[in-house]
Amino acid sequence: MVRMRLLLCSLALVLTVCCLCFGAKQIVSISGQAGSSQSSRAQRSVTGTVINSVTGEPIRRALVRLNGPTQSFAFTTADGHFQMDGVQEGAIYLSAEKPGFSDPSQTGNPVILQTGVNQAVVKLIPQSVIQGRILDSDGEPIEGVQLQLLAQQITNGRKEWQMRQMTQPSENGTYRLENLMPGAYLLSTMAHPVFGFQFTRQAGKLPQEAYPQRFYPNSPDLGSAQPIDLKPGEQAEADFTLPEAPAFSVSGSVGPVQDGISISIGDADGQQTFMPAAFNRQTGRFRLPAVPSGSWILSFHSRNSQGAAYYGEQTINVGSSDIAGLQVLLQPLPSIPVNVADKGDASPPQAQVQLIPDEKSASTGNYMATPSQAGDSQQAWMIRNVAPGRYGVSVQSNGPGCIDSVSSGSADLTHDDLIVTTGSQPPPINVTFRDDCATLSGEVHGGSGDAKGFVILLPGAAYIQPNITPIQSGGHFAFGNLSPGEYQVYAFSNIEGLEYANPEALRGFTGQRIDLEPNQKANVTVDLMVRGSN
Amino acid sequence: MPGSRWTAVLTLVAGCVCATASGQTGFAISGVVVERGSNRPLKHVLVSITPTEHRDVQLSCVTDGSGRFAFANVPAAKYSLVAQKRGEPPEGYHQDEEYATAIAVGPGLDSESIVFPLDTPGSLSGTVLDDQGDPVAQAQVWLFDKGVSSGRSQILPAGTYMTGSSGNFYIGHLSPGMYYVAVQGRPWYAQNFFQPQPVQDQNYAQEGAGAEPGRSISELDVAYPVTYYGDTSDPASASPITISEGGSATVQITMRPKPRLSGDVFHIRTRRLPDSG
Repeated sequence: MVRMRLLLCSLALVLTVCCLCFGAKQIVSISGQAGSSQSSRAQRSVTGTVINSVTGEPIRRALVRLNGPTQSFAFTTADGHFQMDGVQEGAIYLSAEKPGFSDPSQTGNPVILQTGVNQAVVKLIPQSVIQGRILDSDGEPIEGVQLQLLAQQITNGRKEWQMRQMTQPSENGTYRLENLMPGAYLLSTMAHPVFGFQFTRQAGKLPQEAYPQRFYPNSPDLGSAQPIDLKPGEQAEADFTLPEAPAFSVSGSVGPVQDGISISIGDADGQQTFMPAAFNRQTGRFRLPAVPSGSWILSFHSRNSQGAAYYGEQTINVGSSDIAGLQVLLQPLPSIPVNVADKGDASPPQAQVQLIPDEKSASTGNYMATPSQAGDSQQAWMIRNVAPGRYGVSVQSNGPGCIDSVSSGSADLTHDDLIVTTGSQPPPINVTFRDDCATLSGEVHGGSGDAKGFVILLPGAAYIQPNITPIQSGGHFAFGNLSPGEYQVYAFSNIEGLEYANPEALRGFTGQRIDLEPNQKANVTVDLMVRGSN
Repeated sequence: MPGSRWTAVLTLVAGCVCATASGQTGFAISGVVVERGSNRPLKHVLVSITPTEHRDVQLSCVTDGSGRFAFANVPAAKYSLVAQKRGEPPEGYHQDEEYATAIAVGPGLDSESIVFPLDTPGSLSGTVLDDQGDPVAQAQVWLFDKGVSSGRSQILPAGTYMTGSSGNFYIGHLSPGMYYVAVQGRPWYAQNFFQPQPVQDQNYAQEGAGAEPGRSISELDVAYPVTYYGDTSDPASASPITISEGGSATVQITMRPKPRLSGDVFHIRTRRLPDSG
C-alpha cells in the first residue's frame, strides 16, 4: 500500500512542472520488535545521516524534520549525524533542509526502510549556480543589462525552453543565478541602450548605441545558442563581452486605442526580449528609442472588459536608420469552436484538444479547448484567443470511443497544420469518434524484482497524443480507447527529461511496434529500459 | 522673443556629435570629462548645458571614447554644466555642496578646453553570517548615509540591498562619507511561520491528529534582531563605515538568533544611531 502511494506521488512530481524547494522526504516505517505490545505505542530513536547526493559528504547543520505521530526537529552534527529520541511508532516522514540543497525526489525514489530498521540516510542534491560578469568592449562593467535564464523543460513529452529567472548585474558588472536544478539552460542578455534607460529619455534625438541581445556564449539568436549543461552542485562561469552597436528609433501608433494595451518585443525566433519603450495610452503612439539592427517583432495585446482579446503585430527590419510612422492595427483574436461528434449513440464522447505552435512560430504556449462560457456566441468548446501562427493539433480521447478524424473546413488536421492569420476566423475544428476501439494491455519485464516506472504508448499518427501510464504491481499496464493503427510501446524506469512525444528523441530506445486492428484486445510484453536521471 | 532664439539653437545642436567642434563658426563649449585623481577620460557620460538665464532649455551630449564632448554654435551667455555617469547622480562642474561653477561663453573667453573631473564612486561589500558561520541569504541590508545638510548632521536612508546565497552584498556608486549598515534577516531554519506540510497519506493525517507538536519547535521559534555593523543590536553602539573618494570597504556582520518574543529589536531605529542630531 505504501509503495502504491509512492508511485503515484512520484508520478505527480515527474509530470508536474518541477518547482524549487528544499527538503527531501523519506518514509521510515518503524514497528515494534516481535512481541511488542500493540496497545501502547513503543518509543524509539531514529538516527541517521544527511549527505550530499553527489559527493557523498555529510552535510553539517542541516535541519531534519520528522513528521509522524509526534513531530521533532534536529540539526545534524559536524559529521552529518542526527538523532531523535522518543519517536512513536507509525508512519514516519523524514525530511531535511539546508540552504543550497534541494529535493531529490525528482530524480530518485524515496527509500523504504524495512521493519525494525530505524536508521536513515537522507540525500540532498546540491543546487547549482551560474555566475559571471557583463563587460563592454573595453572591459568595463555594464550594469543594468537584463539577463534571462531559460531552462529546458519537458512538457507533455515535448522539449521547450521556459523562462526561469531574470536578473541584472550589480554595479560592478557581476551577476549570480542561484538555486538552480541540474539540467540544460540557455542564458541571454537583452538589448540595452549604452547610455542607460534614463539617458534615452533625456538625450532625445542623440544618436543611440545599444548592446545587442546575446545568447551565451556569443550568439545573436536562440537557434545558434549553446546550452549550459549544469551538473548538480556545479558553479558555472558565463561571462559576456558585449559590443556596442548603432541603435535606431522605431515609432508609430497602434489603434484603435483601447484600455490596457501592452507592447512586447520579440526577436525573429519569437523569443521575448526587453527594450526601453515609451507608450502613450491615450493616443496609442509608441516609440522605442534604441533598437539595435536586426529583425524584430513588435506585438500589441489588449483585452477589453468583456474578456475579448485583441492583437496587432508588426515585423520590423532595422537597418541603418530610424523607422517612423508605423501604423499597427489591433484586431480581435479568433476563438475556434471545437465540435466533438459521435458516430454512435452512446453518451457524448470527451476529448482533450490542443494546438501546439510550430517551432518557428512567434506564438508561444499551447492552446487548450475549454467549455463555452457566458457571453460566447456559440455553445461549444472553444480554443480561445489564438494568436496568428502555424499549429499542429493534438487530440486525446477521454472516452467513450476513440478518435476517428480531425478537420477544420477542408483541412485534414490529421496531416495538415492549422494556419491562423490575422483578422480572419478559422472554421471550427471537428473531431469525430469511432466505437471500434482497441485496447492494449501487457506486462513489463526486467528491472530488479518488480518493475517500476512508466509505459509510454506512442501513436504513429502525430495528431494523437502519446499515452503514459505508471507500471502497476506485477508489471502490468493497460490502455483503452485506442484508435486502430500503428503504435510503439516503451517501458522506462525513469522518464525525467525524456522527450517522449518526439519520435526522434525515442529513436535510440527499443520499443515494441504493434498494429492495432479495430476492436482488438491486444497483449504485449515489453522490456524495461533502465534510464538514469539526466 | 528671446525664446525663439533658444529653440533655434536646440534644433541646431540636436544632432550634436561628441567630437571637437573644429571648423565651426560661433562659440562653442567643449572639453573632456575625466575621473578625478587618475585623470582617466570617461566615455558614455551625459553632459548637459543650460543657459543660466533660461533654465528651461537644456542641451545634452554624450562623451565619446576619449571622454570628449562639444556643443557648437552656442550664443554668448553663461551656462551651467552638468555631467552624469550612468547609474550616478548628476554632478555640476566644480560642484561644492549646492554651488557649481558656470561657464562664460563669449568673445575672448576660453570655453573650449574644459577639463571636467568627476568623482570616482566608492563601494562597500560585505558578508552576513550567522552565529555558526553559515551565510545568511536574502537578508535585507539597509544603508544609511551620515551627511551634513543645511549645516546639520543628518542620517538618511541610502538604499536597501539583498544578500545572495553566500550571504554577500555589494553596494556601488557611493560618494565619500560616513555610512551605517543595518541588517534584517530571518534564520533559514526558523519555524515560526511553520505550517504543517500537507501529507500525502490520509491514514497518517488521522493517526497524527491530536498529536502534540514536538518540544523542539520552540527552539526553532527564533528571529534575528536588527543587527548594525559593529556587531550590535543597539543602534547607539553602531560603528560607522568610512568610504573615501573612490575607495572600497569590506565589512562582516554576524546575526545572532533570539527568541521571537523580543519586542522592538526587530525594527530599525535610525534616530538612535550615533550623532543623528
